[in-house]
Amino acid sequence: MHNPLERRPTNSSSASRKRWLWIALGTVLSCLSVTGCDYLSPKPSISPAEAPGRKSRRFPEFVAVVAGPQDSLSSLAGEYLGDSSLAWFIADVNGVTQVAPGMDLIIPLKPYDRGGLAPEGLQTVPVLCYHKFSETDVDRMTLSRRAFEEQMRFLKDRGYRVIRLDQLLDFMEFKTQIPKKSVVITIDDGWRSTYDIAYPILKQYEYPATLFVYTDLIVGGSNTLNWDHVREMSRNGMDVQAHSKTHRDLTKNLNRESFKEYFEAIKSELADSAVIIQHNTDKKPTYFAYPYGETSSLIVAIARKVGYRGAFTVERGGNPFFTDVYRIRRSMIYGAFSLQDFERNLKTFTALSLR
Amino acid sequence: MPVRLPLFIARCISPWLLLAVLSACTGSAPQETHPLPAEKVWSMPKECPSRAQDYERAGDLGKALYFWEIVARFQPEDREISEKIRTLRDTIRVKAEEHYVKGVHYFQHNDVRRARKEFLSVLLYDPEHELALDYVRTKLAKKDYALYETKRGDTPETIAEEHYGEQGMAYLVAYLNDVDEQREIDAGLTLKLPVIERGTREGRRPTEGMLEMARALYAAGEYQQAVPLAKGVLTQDPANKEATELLRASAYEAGRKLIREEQYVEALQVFKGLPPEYRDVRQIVQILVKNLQHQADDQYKNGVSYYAAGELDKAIEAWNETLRLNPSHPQAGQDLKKANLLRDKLNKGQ
Repeated sequence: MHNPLERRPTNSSSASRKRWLWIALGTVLSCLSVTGCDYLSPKPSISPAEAPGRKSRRFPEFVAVVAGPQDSLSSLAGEYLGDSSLAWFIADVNGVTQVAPGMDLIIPLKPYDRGGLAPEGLQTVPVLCYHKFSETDVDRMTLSRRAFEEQMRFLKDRGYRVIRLDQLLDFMEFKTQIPKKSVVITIDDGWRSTYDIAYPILKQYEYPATLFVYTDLIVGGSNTLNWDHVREMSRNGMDVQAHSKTHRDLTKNLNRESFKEYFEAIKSELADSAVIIQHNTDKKPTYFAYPYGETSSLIVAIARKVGYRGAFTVERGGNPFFTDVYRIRRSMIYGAFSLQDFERNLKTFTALSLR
Repeated sequence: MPVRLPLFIARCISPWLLLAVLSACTGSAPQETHPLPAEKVWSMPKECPSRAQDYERAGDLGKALYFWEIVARFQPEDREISEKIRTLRDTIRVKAEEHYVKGVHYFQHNDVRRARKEFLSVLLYDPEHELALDYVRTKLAKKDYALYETKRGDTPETIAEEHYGEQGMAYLVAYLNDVDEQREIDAGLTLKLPVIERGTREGRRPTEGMLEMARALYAAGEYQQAVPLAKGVLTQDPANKEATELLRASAYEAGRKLIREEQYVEALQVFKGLPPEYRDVRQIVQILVKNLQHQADDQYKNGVSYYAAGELDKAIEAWNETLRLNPSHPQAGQDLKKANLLRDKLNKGQ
């Protein structure tokens, strides 16, 4: 009778086959246990308290947080996303408009709606273009104070969210998501009325806006800005960007201008205006608005080479994420616009079946 | 039996299996040392499952998956949710692929609109689909440039000749592609050569915007800024009467402003650019010329005094100012030349 304590004598090939079977079994089981972790929640890491009383639980895609007594959507966005203006993102994911102590919240760490796509269509972003403002007088390019205030209030009352150019470009580069009814505000040239009328109203509503200056206009005349005005606005939330040096139509050769002279002139209009703005505000412009909204393939190529991240026309309409970043559309808001005309330029969704 | 069992167990637990079990126990996330607060029962926001269901019902499977994955984090033991996630992932993969194949088909048949729609559908299901994104953002976009692959012996000149028909546009090729205008380019590089649009554009008249801006500047009192814009209109539309009138009016007002600021030399230049018969330009020019001549004479006399007193630098400065005020002053030019020569000799002597 075979002694069970003794190893049964086996021939070498049989032993070798068994050994490989055990190795294979062990390997398979190892793989299963590793991939099984994919479907099982990895043990969450417990974050050390970020703020006194803070309890949170961090996963790769989000942080689960219990709101504390001092918390708000903005403060949580600042703490976890590095930008308090992303409060809307937290509100959106959690379906809330404000937080209360003890509330369970998700702070998403990655977007879930890049490009603003939906089965029934896609998001478009209107970029509004203003020029001048006046206490009372109105003409094609000049809006009254009352009308501008009305339009800004309209945006607030109807739930539009005004975003920055950088946010728009991140959206267009498919990097992130933006609020559903996003709108961008831009003002062209550098008229004094921007500082006297538009800037205080924008501050009141806490709307970010972009001022595209053509640098030859910033002379501090009775109706034009000076660099002190521009600096003050730049330090207080107004984004100052480039709109050429002389406001010449970049698509046209001037009389007797050779192609090379034209090329050098265009380079100068695009590059020198950025240098002047940076010199005066300590901030390098990264966006360009074409004078008269006119551009060409050559101008786009130079704008890209000079280092602009995006450039704007005045072609009316909204911008889906795949709009050419060097031909971003803007809708000019004229002095004679009614509120209905204004609203017609605020289209934030285009129907298109994507099922 | 009790004797055999340990041997069996020992054989089952291969080193790899042991390692795997250990790694599963430790998890993939960095281990924190803070214990889970015993009194807190973690619960997810109640919104999450309903959001997931809403998106699923709407056919927005990518977003549904996002919210189900959040739910799964809080309920890792729920097999139903795990199964739902697996099913969603499979469906998404299949749907995305279907739309992608259609998109490529339409692209190959130059149906941009339909191709874009299909690739957008891919991204709706799978935002990580890089190929679909590349189609939407790059391949389907308007081309501002032609791609050119360099061959041995290519220079910016030869490329400019081949592509634009003008060797002289080598600077364009060099600037936009960061290559040396004078040297041969390495073979195998891909250059971007922008399309150069010739001829007039359709739609809005080219000068309309410039004229509008010039009007606005004039109305705002920014006369000096209005002048180049009005000139710009006239280079393209020499018969434009409004631009002509606007140019004259802007220049006239700009000149008057310069006079108020006592910049008489600059004012004279502006008024000399206007037709003498326009308003009172003739009289203004006469007055300015006379005024500047008087000032120039005074400066000249100052220069003579400085020279006589041996103050050579001041004399030179005064005579330079004389010529600025009156470029055709009869004596200042010669005296200035002599003074400069003398100063040079004295400086060399030192």
